[in-house]
Amino acid sequence: MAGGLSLYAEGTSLLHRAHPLTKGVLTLSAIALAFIAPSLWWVVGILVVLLALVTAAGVLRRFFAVALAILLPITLLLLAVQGFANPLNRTVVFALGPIVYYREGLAFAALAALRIACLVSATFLFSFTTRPADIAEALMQRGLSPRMGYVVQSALQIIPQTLEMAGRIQDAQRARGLETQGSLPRRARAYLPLMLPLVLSSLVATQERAMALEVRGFGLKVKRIARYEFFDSTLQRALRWALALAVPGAIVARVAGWR
Amino acid sequence: MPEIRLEDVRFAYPGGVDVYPEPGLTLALGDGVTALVGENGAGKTTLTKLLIGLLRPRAGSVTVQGEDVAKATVAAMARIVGYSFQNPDDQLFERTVRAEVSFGPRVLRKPVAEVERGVAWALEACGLKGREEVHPHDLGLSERKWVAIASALAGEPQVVVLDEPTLGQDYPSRERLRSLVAQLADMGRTVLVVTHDMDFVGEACSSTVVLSEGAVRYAGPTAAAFADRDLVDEAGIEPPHVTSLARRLGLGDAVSERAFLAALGR
Repeated sequence: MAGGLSLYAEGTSLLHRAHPLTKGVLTLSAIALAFIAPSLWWVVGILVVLLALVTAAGVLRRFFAVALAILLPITLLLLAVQGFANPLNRTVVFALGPIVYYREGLAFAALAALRIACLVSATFLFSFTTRPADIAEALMQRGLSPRMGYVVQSALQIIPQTLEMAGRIQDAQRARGLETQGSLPRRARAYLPLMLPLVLSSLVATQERAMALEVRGFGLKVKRIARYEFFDSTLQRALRWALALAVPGAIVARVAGWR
Repeated sequence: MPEIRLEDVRFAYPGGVDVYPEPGLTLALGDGVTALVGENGAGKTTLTKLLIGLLRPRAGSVTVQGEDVAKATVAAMARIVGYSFQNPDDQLFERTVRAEVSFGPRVLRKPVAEVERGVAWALEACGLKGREEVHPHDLGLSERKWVAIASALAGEPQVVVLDEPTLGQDYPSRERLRSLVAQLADMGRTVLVVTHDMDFVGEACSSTVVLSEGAVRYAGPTAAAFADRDLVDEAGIEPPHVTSLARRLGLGDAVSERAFLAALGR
């Protein structure tokens, strides 16, 4: 079950094939560096690299559809609020009667908006090119306990399943005459008939799932082998180390006076 | 006048393909017990959900007991249609069987005397007498299913929809179900049974509707529903066991034990 929450888009690009850990390190490092980097142009550079990767992964169209919906309102809000009201505002850019727009606020808003753009781009780059189940699988191959891996995986799958169950329950109760929409008192009355079957069924499902896992040897204390190996290479390993080390490197540089 | 009428009904789930392709589903059902059969995905449950307004057709009209479903709320349709879903656990939430069974008529604000009459009848007919004060979740799956069926009947609806009522039921339970639907038919109610259980169809349902890929392939008496072997194959259904036996013995297409014995005695 891919699930309704996953953004993953099937693909064969280099990024799709890359080891989930490589993509994970890339995402986290890019976000960290965007927030550590001192000036606008560094952040622009990181964003350009990320957008190039999104393009290379062949998910540019999907990316714009979701990313703009998030970034556009945030950016406009930042530009408006900071340009008019940042306490550091000194230099006038333009004035419309009593309303004055300042350069300091604009610079601050632009940097903040670009950092958020990096955060969103890196996150979507990862989500679009990585199958959710692969994240837990890759972490387990690196020594994460299967219990934790199951927690990660089930968290991704349980929400669509629960939503589906909630839909069935709502149908069943409405068919008995329960009004689930309308005024607040009406919806309050509908709460128990909708919630109780959901909670009870979830508890029963959890118990059954635990038993199903156990009969398949989930609790065995033995060495596990992987169902499939992810594509890894010396280049990817080197890239992961370089990206991971770049973060503390950048922090040290900032402390040492990188402006 | 038919109790249920669907005319050129088109429907598609969000992002999905048409359940009922051109020119749409047209079907008229009278009273008595009708089986709705066909492969998974043939459009059986979708059809029953259209009858009570849980789903709305994209085109065409659905009329139940002269009521245009498009103009009625689900709650209004619930007064006419008693609907028992496949999984009882999707609806059970009260502390006692009695409270659970009376929930429907109570939210429909029926007069107290009517509620009590309907609940008493439903509990009796579903074999739940003496179990009224038990917590529904202390019952086994088969009995929980009976609680759900009783809930659908307690409002004394004119039309009764039973989705997979025989699933997981033992022999006495199936016999009870058979007598229940016969009793409902005698009372002049319309009963629609969605099922994969062809033995039950042969024994308990006077007419049958065969759906295949969203189209009605057969609608008529059950006795003749399995006669067209190509249709049976195409629709992905199997005849009742007694029919297969009758054929091997050269006794025709008997669909029920009684018809089989009659053919044997001849």
